[in-house]
Amino acid sequence: MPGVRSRVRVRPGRGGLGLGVATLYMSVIVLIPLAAVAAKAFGQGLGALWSSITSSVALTALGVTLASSLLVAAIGAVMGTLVAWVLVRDRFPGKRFVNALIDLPFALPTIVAGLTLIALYGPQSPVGIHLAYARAGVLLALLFVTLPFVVRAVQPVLIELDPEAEEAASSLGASSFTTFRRIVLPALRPAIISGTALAFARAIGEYGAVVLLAGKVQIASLVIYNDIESGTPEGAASLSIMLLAVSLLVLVLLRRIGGRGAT
Amino acid sequence: MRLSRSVTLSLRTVALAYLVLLLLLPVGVIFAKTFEHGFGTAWGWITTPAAVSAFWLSVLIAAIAVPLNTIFGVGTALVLVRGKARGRALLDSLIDLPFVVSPVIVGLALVLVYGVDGWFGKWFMDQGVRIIYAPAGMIIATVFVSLPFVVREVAPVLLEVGEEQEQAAATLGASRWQTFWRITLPSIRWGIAYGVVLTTARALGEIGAVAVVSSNVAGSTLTLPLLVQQRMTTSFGPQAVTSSYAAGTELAIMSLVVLLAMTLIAPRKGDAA
Amino acid sequence: MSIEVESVSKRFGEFTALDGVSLNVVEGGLTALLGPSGSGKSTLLRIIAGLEVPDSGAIRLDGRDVTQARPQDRGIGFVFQHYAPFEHMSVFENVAFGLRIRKRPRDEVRRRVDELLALVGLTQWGGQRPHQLSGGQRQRMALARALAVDPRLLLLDEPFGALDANVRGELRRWLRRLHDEQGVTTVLVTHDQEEAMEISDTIAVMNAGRIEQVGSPREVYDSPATEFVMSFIGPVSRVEGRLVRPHDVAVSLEPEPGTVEAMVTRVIHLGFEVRIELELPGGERAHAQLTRAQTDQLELAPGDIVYVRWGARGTTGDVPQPRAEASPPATA
Repeated sequence: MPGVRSRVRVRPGRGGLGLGVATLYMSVIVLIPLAAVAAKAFGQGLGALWSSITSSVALTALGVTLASSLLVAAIGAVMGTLVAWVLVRDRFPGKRFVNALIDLPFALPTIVAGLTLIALYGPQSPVGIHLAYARAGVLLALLFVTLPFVVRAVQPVLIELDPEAEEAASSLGASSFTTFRRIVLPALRPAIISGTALAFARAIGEYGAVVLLAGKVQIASLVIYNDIESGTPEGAASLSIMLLAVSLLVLVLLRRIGGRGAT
Repeated sequence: MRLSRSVTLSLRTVALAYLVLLLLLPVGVIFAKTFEHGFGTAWGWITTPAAVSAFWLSVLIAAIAVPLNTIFGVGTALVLVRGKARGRALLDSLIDLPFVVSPVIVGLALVLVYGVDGWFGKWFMDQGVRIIYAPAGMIIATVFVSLPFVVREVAPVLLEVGEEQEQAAATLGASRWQTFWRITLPSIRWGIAYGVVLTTARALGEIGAVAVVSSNVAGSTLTLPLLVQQRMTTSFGPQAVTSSYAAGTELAIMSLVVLLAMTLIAPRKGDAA
Repeated sequence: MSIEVESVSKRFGEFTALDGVSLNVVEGGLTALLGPSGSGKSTLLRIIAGLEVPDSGAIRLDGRDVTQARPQDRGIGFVFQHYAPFEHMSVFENVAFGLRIRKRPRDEVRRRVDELLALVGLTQWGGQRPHQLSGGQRQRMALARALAVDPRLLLLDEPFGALDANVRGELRRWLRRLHDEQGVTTVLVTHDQEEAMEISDTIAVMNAGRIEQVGSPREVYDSPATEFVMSFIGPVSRVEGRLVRPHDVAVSLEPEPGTVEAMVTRVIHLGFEVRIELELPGGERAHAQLTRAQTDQLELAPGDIVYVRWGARGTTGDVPQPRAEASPPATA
């Protein structure tokens, strides 16, 4: 059968012209500014760049940020899948409300997220839990912000899942856990990975939710901010390049998993 | 898969407990803390001149960024889904960049381009246009971070609707513009609506990028999120807490309206009718 | 509107959809493009409509070269297999669309749409949305919509393909009646030979990007130009290197000159007709179609030995044999 048909253009010329305009917009807004960061980082010379990246401040910041984000991504993957499961397979009053609630971190400004978390778990907490470690507060803030990613990635896949495969497994004697592990989980894996990857990418760059909490904790985004404010953009650019490299890696991973492109 | 009652209940309990502790409780506490000293005090905090202008600045920035990204979003979705040109796959990958770039890096990037020492900074200065430490820069920053939403919501809907309706319109004599306006646009309207809502939420809540390009001066470059941060970090005593919580609650209410819109529109996205 | 298709070729990547196809359609008739999947019939229709552009060749409508012209400029009406309804508009607005974009006055639009809705039997459904209609109703709406702008040529792409069998039958007969009333030149693409035989004036049989024969239903059935046409249009058996129609097989209990021995393997009662499956000494299989009366008379049962003659018509029993390969086109 024929593959791609040659299309007759039946709407406003969105061939090369449209592509050109869209690319121009992207360039002006996104690409040129990012190029400037790369130029600043590499412009100081590879030697200076290297010592900037390997300075104790930068390494600590990267280490703390990556470790926290990985931990948050891992927890988010598990809890997100669990929440998605309950939302799809379970029935209880108020489920629709709970389902809507998942989008709260998307709708709420990140600064308010940070505010709510120190309200509850920081100093002067009404619940009496005082987080001795600001790091835990950071983890909570990041968990808040990244909650919807895994849930919303997994939900549609769970909904589309053919119950017959699970029924077949049960009829062959598999326990619920085995069925979940061997039938359901493999089907969910791409969605979980893509949701987790997005959550991770979000977490490493998060600013608003952690800025109020992380007085003593060296999060990369805060270090970058301080560098800018204190007039050392080279340092900021160096650390930014590292973060961008990680983000781009995640983007490439997402492309491979598929399901995110329009083409 | 049929789970035993106890397993079902345990899963449900764990999931709900997690959500309550992570989402509901904190937000509930912020409301409580806001009105701790009475509604009047709280109201006072959001009606100060600084707060009022912060509110309007946030709204203004969103009012500019959202339409810009909507037009870009619809146009780009059309290019990606209906177009034939060869660079589409690359453009498609680049669209996701704002999702994975930290907002402070965005701010840095803009400073490096439009700041006094930046690539184009001098040129703008000569024209008498301030970008950095001025609303213009904050608008560009907001456009950057909220760029992908409309594209990513409209493209799948366009794909799903398919070209047949548009071809039918062509056979009935409709010009390209008539087809776009009367057939294509209505078929994607819920995708656009949802994308607009997400873009608005992001635009209103943005802090990282605008924090870098803002001079944090109340009345001119202080948005509502920045006001919240400023009050918490630069005021003293209980005032700090209450005043910033009040502003935070104001933001929270605005985002609850957005959340409501999201909830109402999301199911409609699926049907192209 | 008359159509001239001249040596049209079209490829999609490696796949050749149309290979130098030529066809003439005279004004006023109902022509079917009949063939299996992949024969190129839909591609040809879409090229006539202007929804695809041929790689080579020309299309002329009423003598005017339209090969590069857009669909909007051809004065055609097109009905898609899945109807392509405008989901966000009511049935009324769907039908009115062509008139509205031509900026016709409100009352003219209303009058014409009401007329058309009555014609297709959808008057009470004007305010509904397409998704509230059944498949058959949606198809009728699509037809009304296409007719609203007074096209001089109506093109239908497998219009009944997505419908249930009984609806299909009703709707195709209704289409024929409509065509007789309205008189618009109509070209219809289908893979259903019964459909083509029942309602068209002319059939163009297509296979693998070429037209194998053009003729009336009777011509195409009785005088197939190629083996493909013969086997596609009706049931055949291949015996002794020839193609024979089941009803051209004469069965008798006694050997007669010109008959061959065969064994009855199955007797299948299909209501009015009976199909006799036969096996020949060489192992070849054939089947004959007899009436109930004939079968009862012969008292046939599996295992019986009978004597068959190919070609019941004419004393010599010769049936003109079709060519194996297609040759240049004819006029429709």
